Amino acid sequence: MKGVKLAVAVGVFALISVFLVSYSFSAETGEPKGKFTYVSPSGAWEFKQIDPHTIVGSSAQEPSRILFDYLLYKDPDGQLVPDLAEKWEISPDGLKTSFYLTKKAKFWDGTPVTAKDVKFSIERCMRPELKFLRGGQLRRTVDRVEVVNDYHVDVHFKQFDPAFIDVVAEYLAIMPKEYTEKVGDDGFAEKPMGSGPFRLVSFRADAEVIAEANTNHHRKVPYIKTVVLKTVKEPATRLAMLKTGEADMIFLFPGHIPEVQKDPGIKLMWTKHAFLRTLIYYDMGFPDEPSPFKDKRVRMAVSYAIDREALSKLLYGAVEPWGSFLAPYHPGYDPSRTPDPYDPKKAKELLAAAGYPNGFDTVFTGHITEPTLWQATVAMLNEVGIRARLDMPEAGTWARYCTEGKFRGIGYGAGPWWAGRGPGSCLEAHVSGFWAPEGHPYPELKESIENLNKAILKGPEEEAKAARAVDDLMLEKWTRRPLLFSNVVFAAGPRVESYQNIPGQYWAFRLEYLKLKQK
Amino acid sequence: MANYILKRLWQALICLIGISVIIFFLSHLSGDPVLLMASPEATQEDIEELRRTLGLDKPLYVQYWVFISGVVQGDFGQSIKWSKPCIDVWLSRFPNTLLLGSAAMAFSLIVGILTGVLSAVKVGGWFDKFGKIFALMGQSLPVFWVGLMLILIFSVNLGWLPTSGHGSWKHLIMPAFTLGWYFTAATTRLSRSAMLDVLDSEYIKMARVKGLPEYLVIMKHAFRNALIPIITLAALNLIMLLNGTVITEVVFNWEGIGRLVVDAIFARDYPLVQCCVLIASMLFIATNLFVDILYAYIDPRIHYH
Repeated sequence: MKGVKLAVAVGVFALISVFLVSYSFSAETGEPKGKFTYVSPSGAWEFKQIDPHTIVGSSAQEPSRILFDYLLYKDPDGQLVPDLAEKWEISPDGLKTSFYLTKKAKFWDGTPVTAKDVKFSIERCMRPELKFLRGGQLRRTVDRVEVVNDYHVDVHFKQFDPAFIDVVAEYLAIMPKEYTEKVGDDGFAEKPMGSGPFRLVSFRADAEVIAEANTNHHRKVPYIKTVVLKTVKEPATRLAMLKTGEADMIFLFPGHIPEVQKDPGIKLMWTKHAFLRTLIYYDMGFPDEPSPFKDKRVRMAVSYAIDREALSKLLYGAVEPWGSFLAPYHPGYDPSRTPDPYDPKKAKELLAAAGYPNGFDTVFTGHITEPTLWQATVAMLNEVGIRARLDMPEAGTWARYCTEGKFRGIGYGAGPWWAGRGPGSCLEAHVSGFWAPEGHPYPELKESIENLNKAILKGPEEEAKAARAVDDLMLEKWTRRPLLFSNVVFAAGPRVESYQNIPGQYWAFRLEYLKLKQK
Repeated sequence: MANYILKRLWQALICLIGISVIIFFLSHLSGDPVLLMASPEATQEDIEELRRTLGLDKPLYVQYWVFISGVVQGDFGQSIKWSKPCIDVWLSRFPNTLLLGSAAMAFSLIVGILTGVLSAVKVGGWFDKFGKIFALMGQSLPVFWVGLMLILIFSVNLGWLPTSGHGSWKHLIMPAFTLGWYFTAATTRLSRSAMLDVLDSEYIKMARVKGLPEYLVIMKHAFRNALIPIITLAALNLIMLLNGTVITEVVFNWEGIGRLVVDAIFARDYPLVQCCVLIASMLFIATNLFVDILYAYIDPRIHYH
């Protein structure tokens, strides 16, 4: 009798298991269903229509991401994972990167994605007339691209390029060689073909992209059948669209967070750590000219005068206090590095010790996109005697001043907004180039960055150690100071069941993993 | 008349050349598009290469010559941002602007003139008071606020109309009203004061003494004579509407010329800014000329020398 009972129990358990497994399997592999509309202010996909190799500085990337595949991808933890490349290897000297491609990937017309398409795409990105954002970098570092066989491609470099993997994962969309050559650049821009999780249905520049699920996608067949990407610049209109159901998810203006929180039908979805805002001491870039900021105690006083928690509350959590130049997804990030405390008393003491008991006059340059944040910062500085005049040039002038190193006094550093990349690229941006108009007065810092770039070849542990060393040095020297990490916030309507973006990304990626509630 | 038109055309040409010089040099003073387009990692060498690709490395006077000789042949240049001929980009947006501008204009003329005329006829009455309040509100309420309030009421709360975009007549109602109300206000006030002036004149009194029906006095004798300032205002309003209205276009996500120009300015897309401004100037000059000719038709006493 016991045996019969056991047999029945095992049988029932087996049946339930089979049912559950088959149900979950069908749910995962079922046909894509429903229409999803995402509305954002960034409609910069007007650059040569939808040709991702013409992408420039301010282009939004959502359309490229849904229509094209890349060699590598990132998971919700921000770590690199295979996409078209099942495996990748960097040679010990860094002069060769090999990509081994999946045999499952196909372009929308059924043509397999092969090594010749990868070679074609890399070489196409290097053509100056396409004005590809990272074309200059590729032309400087890539020597040649070699097709070893249909599913193996080697990229040979003139010199090791630590940022190449960032380009591969973020910008280097793979295009079909034969089709692109047949239709030409203009033809492709008008009627693109990719291998991405969605196929293009229609497109209106700077307005709307409609795409449908690619049911043959090699990595992930989307849950949603139709995706609509719309551009709406006015934040209040985007919110109204979400409330009326015209949109399922929007890029939310932080000022609207309290209103959204009152609405039980709308949920907030955060993409954490998109870009780090630092405090920059611009005067450090003028070594021959006197400035209060040459004294480390004054630089410290500035940081202690700023109440990062209050700024975070002011933007409802869209920025969070930060104490490191690394993000949690970077190797080497140390969570014990806390932000500088708000201590106006200590700030005043430091100023007095540095010979400024009555404070001094200066300029604080903030970016025009966030006046509230910088007005509050300047008010805090004024409280301790740093009488800062707020200057907020518009974006074009700001870019010119950055390049020409015209900023004086102190200000906000927007670097780097591409925090999702490897630590080498991110940390380097804080000490040289466009985002570091103040330069870096400490030669050991440059050396430390070079060590980090070399350490990438020695494995993740060495890379983490080297990244931490750069972070340590920057914190120790007070060349600039971590201030706030910006988080991107999306608001989703009741139809959205789940969505998880890649941390550190400004755009809404991974839409193929977004699930809608079934009726 | 023919001489007058020829003289005005010659003046228009000189004016356009002047505008092209001003807009060309001013826009180039405002900043460098290359810096907005380049990658943050771009070296000076990359920036220079991009500048060469865009033809921005040449001296300004050479760039101006290339631009103006293209314009003469109908080629306004290639948009830096869109990688397309500027005129194609402008043409892709113009039908939307024309539609919105026409709807707003029709609304402002019908409502504005009717309200103005009726207010003048029943001066001091309840309709006159209503007309004054209506006009005052139209001019004093900010356009973005009116637009957002309409969206809140008719889209979010009542669910009658779509919040934004274009494609059907329903999409047109709120932006046309928002835009039209502002222009209606001025039309109402001007129609009212012009009609009051005319209604107080001797020949109107004479017409009434002769026993003409009141509607004939108002429509045939008074209204026609009050039309000249209204037409002038309407023409100016029309040009403003056809050159795009940024705030309304942004609030209602209307893909028109206004948004295009503002985006082009922020992207330092010089050729597109120049194209839009030159076309706007041409429209302005052509409409003014047309209105001048229309004066002579409406008021035969007007002669041109």
